[in-house]
Amino acid sequence: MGGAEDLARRTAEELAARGCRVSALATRALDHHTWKNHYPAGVTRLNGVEVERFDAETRLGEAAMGRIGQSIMRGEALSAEDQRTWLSGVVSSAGLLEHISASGSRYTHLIFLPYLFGTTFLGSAVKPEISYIIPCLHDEPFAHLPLVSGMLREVRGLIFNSEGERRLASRLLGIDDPGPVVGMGFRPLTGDPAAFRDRTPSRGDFLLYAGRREEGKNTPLLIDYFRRFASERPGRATLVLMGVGEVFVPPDASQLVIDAGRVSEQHKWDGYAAASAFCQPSVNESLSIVLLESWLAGTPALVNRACEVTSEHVAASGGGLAFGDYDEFAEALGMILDDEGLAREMGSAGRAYVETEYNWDSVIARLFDALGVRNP
Amino acid sequence: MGPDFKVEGSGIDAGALEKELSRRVEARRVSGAFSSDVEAMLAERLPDEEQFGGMSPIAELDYAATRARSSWEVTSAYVVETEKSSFLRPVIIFVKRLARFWARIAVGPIQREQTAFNRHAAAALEAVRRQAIASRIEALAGEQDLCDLAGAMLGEGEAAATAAAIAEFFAQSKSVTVVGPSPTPLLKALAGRGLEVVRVSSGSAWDEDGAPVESRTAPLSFLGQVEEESQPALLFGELAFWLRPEALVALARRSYLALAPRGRLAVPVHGFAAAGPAPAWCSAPVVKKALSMAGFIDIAVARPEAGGYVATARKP
Repeated sequence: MGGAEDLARRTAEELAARGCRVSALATRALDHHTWKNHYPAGVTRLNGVEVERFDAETRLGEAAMGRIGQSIMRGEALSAEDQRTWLSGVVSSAGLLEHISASGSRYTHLIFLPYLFGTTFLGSAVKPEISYIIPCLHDEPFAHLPLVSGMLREVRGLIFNSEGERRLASRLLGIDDPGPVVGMGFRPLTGDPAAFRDRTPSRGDFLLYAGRREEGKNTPLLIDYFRRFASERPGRATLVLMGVGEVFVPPDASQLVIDAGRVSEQHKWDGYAAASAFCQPSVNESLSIVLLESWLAGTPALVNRACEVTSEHVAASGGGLAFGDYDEFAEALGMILDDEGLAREMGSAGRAYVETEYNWDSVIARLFDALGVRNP
Repeated sequence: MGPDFKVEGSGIDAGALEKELSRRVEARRVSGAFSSDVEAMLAERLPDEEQFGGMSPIAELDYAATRARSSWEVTSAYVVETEKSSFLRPVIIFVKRLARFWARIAVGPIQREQTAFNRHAAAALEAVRRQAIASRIEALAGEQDLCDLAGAMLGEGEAAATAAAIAEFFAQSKSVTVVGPSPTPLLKALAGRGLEVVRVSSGSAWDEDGAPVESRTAPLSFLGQVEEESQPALLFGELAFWLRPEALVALARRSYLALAPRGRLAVPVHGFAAAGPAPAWCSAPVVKKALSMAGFIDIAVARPEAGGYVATARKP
């Protein structure tokens, strides 16, 4: 589905590989827009992790949810009841909650993510004494709901993906030290640029985006900026978009913007390796897995200056540049495209950053520390 | 709780990168690229823009270039007049002329600079307009080449048979608007059956002197200029030349908009399309589906004996 689910899966698999007994409790849904049940119910074993799936329930189609959602986006004050309706209505699972209630004593630690789902809001309240939340916060109206702060305060501990997210939590909760930064490790695949070019109609330099294509991820902004760049510098590069979700490419930009759609994991890494630069235009990131992956492939990055998390990654690593408006986007992209040596250095710097800070040994050590568990 | 982790940069000075970016952006802005404030003002419409607000971008370019060419000169020799009575009139006129004399001295340098700027701007607009026309002529020539190429790929008698099927469907129309590079023999065959053939392309540039086209406020050469609900009969082809399937859906929808209520659409797909690079999406079920998605009804497929097929549909 998304980054949070990816984080959960990879962390669980890494823990299992190190001999920990790990269970994953999830819903049967695949699509976070419809929450329609897709996977079979029950227990399966996947990469060493016992995965138990329960029916998903959602109230997203109800008029009340629409009204509440719009009120939240407008920043209006909401009653506790409306907040509860929203937080438990996006997606929840009576079966999963029942399981935690009945069988929660089997677990030493319950880790919930992300913050905005009913499975987290209601699930963490069942056994808060052993519950931790990886909220995957970003600065959006939902994060400012009082019940969200209440939820985050009630559990045993909070775990964050980045320093930027931790600072946001500190502001929301009004406390100096809301919890540690743990993050996520990476095991890169080797990307094959030639294989990517064989399967994608892109020639020459290209700027890559990977992830959900939607308004919330700022993909329309990226397409608009790139079209303007292409009109200034015709033929210099194309834009390739990978991932799920609809993307509207204006007819006159069909040669500039290539929709590669949903791709396999290997094809994604092939894309990272082939790209001249990677762009993360989203301001709603708590870690940005794809940004860090692109750095592992040695590709320099452009990020949105308005996103604290990705801007900090760039500032800390030197692996790219941040843009705040079109002028900065155009000049930053030009700097990378026009100077191969600089682009290579940036990519290498990004890779070194990820290998140092986001290797699994360091991440698991920090996770055990956060959970109060002795590192085996 | 666990320690914060900081990254010690190596090899790249992120601060220096940021400074270099800022320097380049500043240079870009000083060189004349617009600031966001100016861009916001440019987005506002001028008072007379309402007259041509509905035109395509290239038509707007022509309008602006024409206006600029005829009005670049700035003069302070404005006419001095008054509506006052005959007694005061000479006095007021004299005073205004005196004021105009001194004003011309004061604003003279500004007027000269503004005039020079306007002249450059008008010249630049005209250059852009000519470039757009040149590229359009080139594109039209390319499209004509495709028409001839497609004609060479038709089977024996295919043009006549397809034209017969189309003409029968368009029985009550005197003209048909043809969108895209349809085979030349087909267009000639349609004309031979008494239909006036009006060619437009689905492109976006301007045609100054090309094929017979309808004219309204500006020469009409592409589907986007066709007024909505204005065409009684429309035909688009050659599908095999538009290699992206999404073009089919877009064309179907734009055709729907251009057609008058109860207007008729024909989509001929010739025999050579089956051997083309995109045979799957030139197939009848796909074309029928695209027409249905666009809102057409009474969708049918006629198969002339000489090969290929003609998909027909009607706007409700």
